[in-house]
Amino acid sequence: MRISKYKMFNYLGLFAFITAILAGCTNDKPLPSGYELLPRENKGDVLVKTVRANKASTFWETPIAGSRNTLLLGSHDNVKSFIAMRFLTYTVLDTPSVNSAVVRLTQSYHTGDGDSISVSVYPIEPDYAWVESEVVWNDIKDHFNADSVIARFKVAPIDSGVIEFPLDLALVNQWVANDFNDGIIMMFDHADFMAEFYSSNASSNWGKLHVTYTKKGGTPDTTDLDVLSDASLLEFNAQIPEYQLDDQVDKLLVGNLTGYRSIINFDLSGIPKNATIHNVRLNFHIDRENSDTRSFGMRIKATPILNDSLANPENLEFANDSKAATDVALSTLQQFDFSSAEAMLAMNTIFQGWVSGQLTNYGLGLLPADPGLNTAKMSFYSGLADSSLAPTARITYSVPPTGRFDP
Amino acid sequence: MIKKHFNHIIPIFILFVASTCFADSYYSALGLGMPRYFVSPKAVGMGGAGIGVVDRFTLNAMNPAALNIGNITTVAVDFQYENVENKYSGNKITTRNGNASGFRFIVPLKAYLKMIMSLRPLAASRYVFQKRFSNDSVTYDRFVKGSGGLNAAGLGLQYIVMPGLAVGGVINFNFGSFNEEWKTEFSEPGYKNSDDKINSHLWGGGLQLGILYNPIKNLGIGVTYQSSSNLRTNTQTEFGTEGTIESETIRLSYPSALGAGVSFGFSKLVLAADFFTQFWNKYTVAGRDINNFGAFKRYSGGIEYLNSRDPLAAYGKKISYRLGGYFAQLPFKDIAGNAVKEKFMSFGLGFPFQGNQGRVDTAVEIGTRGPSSQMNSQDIVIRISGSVTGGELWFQRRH
Repeated sequence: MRISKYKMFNYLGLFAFITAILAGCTNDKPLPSGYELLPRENKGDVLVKTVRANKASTFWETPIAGSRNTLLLGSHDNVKSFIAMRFLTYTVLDTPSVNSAVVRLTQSYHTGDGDSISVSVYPIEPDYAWVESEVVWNDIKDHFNADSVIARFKVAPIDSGVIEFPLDLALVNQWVANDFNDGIIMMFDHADFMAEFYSSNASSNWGKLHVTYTKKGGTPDTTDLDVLSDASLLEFNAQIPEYQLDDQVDKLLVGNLTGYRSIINFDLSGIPKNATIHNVRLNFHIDRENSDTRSFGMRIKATPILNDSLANPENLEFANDSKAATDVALSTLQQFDFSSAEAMLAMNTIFQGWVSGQLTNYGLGLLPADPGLNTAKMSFYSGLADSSLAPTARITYSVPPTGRFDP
Repeated sequence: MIKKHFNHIIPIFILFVASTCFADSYYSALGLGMPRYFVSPKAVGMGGAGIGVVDRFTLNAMNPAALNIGNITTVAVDFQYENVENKYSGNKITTRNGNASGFRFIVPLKAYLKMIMSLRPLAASRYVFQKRFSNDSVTYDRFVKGSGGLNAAGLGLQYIVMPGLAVGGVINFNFGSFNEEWKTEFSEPGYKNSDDKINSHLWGGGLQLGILYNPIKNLGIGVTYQSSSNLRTNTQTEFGTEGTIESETIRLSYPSALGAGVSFGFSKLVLAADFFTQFWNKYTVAGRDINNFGAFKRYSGGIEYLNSRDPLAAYGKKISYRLGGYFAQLPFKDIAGNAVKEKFMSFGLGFPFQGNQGRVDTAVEIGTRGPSSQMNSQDIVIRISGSVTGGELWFQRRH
């Protein structure tokens, strides 16, 4: 019998294929020895280096507080806070026939103590289009009628309660008629404490405008109108002007109310450019005397500076939140670490960028993660007076191993 | 017609090129890896001895002069499977691997001239190491995983100078890649793992020469020489940080080798003995000598018993029985400067098929590698080889 030449090669191929399949391979089964003896000049061992911050400076920037879930009214740490608010009048009321209008605010906390605050309410200028997420006191202060008080009320230094005050009916009816609500501003002349209220960004208890009115058909009705937008308006009476850099300071300040932010630098020239950063743990010694947080602490954001503008901090550009490391500091502790897993991973990315040169090292900004939220503040030692108290970065890294054929 | 033949050959070729893998060994992490020594499927059963052996179905990979295919186009494909038990200070682990390991394709151009095409492994590397580290704040594991090898794709000729004297030469294109992956894995959250990959590609030319001389009918003497190969090597390092560095091309010297073998053929017995050496002591990387490398030396001897070569004989009588052994001194030295040695016994069988138109050869090798006094380690290796050799008359010549 003679086998065809084509068939013979098919048999050979089949035999090869089946043998390869049946033989199988073991995968990734480590040998019991050899790592130590592997002849590589560098095996990429993991190293740890602690670097101290070598520069420290602070400045302040007025917090934009409109997106927070609180409204602040009062005074604390040389900061005054007023409230701007407007209501969703035009989509609910079909005719300017409001018979009564009462604002309800729910108080949640207070910082400091003293006599009740006497608050006056003024109408905001018609057609002044303020935006909750952008508005600050300096913008709005020239856009309300300071001669026209439309309501007054008092705020006590308490941690819960509801405040009600009536609004001028002519003004409310004008809002309905114009299909636009310019809003009101709540101000005071003197305050010894800072009161907190729920804002429209809170999950509950936000402000309402309770109205009774007559419908088009003549039927009386009542309704609660929601707040369309509201914002705390902070005014810091500081010793140094806004955006003036205080260089080589002994204390690194970060404040929700004051808007203090600090900048530190680490000299990373001792880490090879091709290193892989595995972990960065930032550590700060807390100046407890000048720090104050509630039991839930204060969220602090560490984010890289993207441009060389220390001479003019107003133009400093910080990386966005997706690149920032955020952790919670407590004023009752001795030290603060960026120690949560998320914060350390974010910090890894920042330091990796600096070390490998993808990001220029202009420094690290320490910012309040929730500016304008409350009166929390943290003060850290910069190390200027005592270098042992300087902020440190504990960097865990490795350098790629030497290749098999590296000469 | 030729095109149709190649339609069948190409898939087989691709299968071989795909990968050549062997079971793990620490020694394969050194130099260019474990030297692969292969003469022929018949020789494997005889301890590897076969440089001076000529046989119809023995397509000699080491000595291109030792071929006797007549006017029959002949192809052989080889497979190898290894089971290695790695012992280290009382710990042991077993790794297995198997795959195609080469082929040879011989086409008769004239009665005295044969064309040789071949692919064979020259060195192979495969290993995984792990080590756990701890410091005051974190525990992590380091993994090193390496694989790769060097192969030779050859094209050559065998020329029968006169009855009893043949010479052969193959021009080899030596090529291969070596990949090493270093991983660091942390157990704590907040730590970033890393994965660095170092990939090297090597290529270069080489020459393989052989002589086979039969001074008398039953005596075969073979000599083979393999030139050194200047391998161009490009290395690319991919960092865990997603950067990549391409290093400058450097030169590696794959060392030359010399082998000699003798065989005695009787009516039912074949006796063979070989000596082979490769000058790994001259292995250099970018012109720099690599310390701790010595010459690879291999002493092989074996015997084959075949009752009958008559195609019409009973099948049991046509089976070949082989026995052999070898002692090898590997190029590697341990820290104490002692050469690492291999001692192996081998057994083999040859099964003819289609009358005597082809043969399946199998062999089992059992032996030890090491021990290294410094590492207190030893590899116990079981290697199973298989080859299929077959031929057909492709070209009918007018006389």
